[in-house]
Amino acid sequence: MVSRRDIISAVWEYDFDPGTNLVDVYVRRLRDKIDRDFPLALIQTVRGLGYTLRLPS
Amino acid sequence: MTLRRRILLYYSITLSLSLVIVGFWSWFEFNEQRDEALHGGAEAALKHDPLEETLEIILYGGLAAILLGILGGGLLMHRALRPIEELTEALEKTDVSNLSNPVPRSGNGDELDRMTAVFNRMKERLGLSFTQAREFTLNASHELKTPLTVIYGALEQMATNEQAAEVDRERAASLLEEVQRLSSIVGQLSFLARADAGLLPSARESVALDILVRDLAEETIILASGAEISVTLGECQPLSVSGDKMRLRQLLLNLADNAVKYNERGGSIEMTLVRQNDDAVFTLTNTGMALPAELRSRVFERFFRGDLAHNSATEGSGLGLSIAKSIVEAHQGVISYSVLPEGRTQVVVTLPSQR
Repeated sequence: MVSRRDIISAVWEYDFDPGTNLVDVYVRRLRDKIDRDFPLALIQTVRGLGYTLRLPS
Repeated sequence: MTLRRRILLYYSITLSLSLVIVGFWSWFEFNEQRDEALHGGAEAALKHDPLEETLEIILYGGLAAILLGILGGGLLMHRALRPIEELTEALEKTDVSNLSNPVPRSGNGDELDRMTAVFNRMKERLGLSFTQAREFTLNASHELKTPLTVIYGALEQMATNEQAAEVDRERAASLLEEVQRLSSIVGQLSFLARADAGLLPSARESVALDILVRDLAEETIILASGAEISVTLGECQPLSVSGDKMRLRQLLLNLADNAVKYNERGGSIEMTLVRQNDDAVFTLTNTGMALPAELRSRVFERFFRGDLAHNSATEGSGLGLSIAKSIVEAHQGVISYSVLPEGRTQVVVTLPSQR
């Protein structure tokens, strides 16, 4: 599982909380590419924690 | 000697002196007249009218006294007022940054010297309370970080505990979101407190601002896509500034984020970066409800959010523009907020550019 902060520092190398929806918007785009055409959604939001890639339980 | 005593003494001396002169002159004149009368008889005495003589003496003697009074008084007042002028200038130059430098005193113990001393003491106390307030924010934000981390860790465990009931995990997750918001505000406050204390670790490297602005434009397109806001990057001249790349990215992203958050569906955002004399000028213009005129000057205040923001569901702590301002000022720049006649909002950042 990766937190929003992990994503922010790994992708943009920001050392600050940008306070924007950047991560959410990019994850949405990623979902469009990875999950949209398939019945099983692999990218899952873990509320309050971040995102994870796994088979839905 | 006090100023009052100096003025009193000067005028007493001037007045006594003119009195002595008039006295001696009269004595001399009347003596002369008496001599003439004794030697030449009444005829000679009539040549000189006593009244005329007296008037003459008063006129010339008095004129000299008035002249002396005006010149001397003027000089004295000039000398007395100069320290007041110096004090006023020092007061005008006083701001948060120089509260610890006292105004030089004349040391002669007069009223103005005492006033300067009082002013210096006031400045010192003001400086002390500024430092205390600053250190308080710095310490408070630092002290809050550790417990927040502990709470975060505990909630994280609860939220991911497979054995826990679904409803408990949900509750933990919702608390986690709040803790994150809180941490983010604490982080921003700590940033501002460090900026105020001049403790921002800021690298001084050459930063290509045009590249940052191009990156920003791309990110803004992504951010704005949900609300169908069009983003255009106008002129973007190659310009470098000396500063901290990370802080400059933070600044630009802060501004763009505001431009998206306070925009309207189907609105627009425009950015330009141009050279103006020796400055790099970044302009960001966006549509959306403009702030009422009376609130515009407060836009960089901490925790300031316009009424429109309070009503809407827009997220944000109200610290974004304060942070932007402190970053700009740490780079010796200027940031301004205005509303264009047609109602669009414009933020202009001016930074000294490198050749």
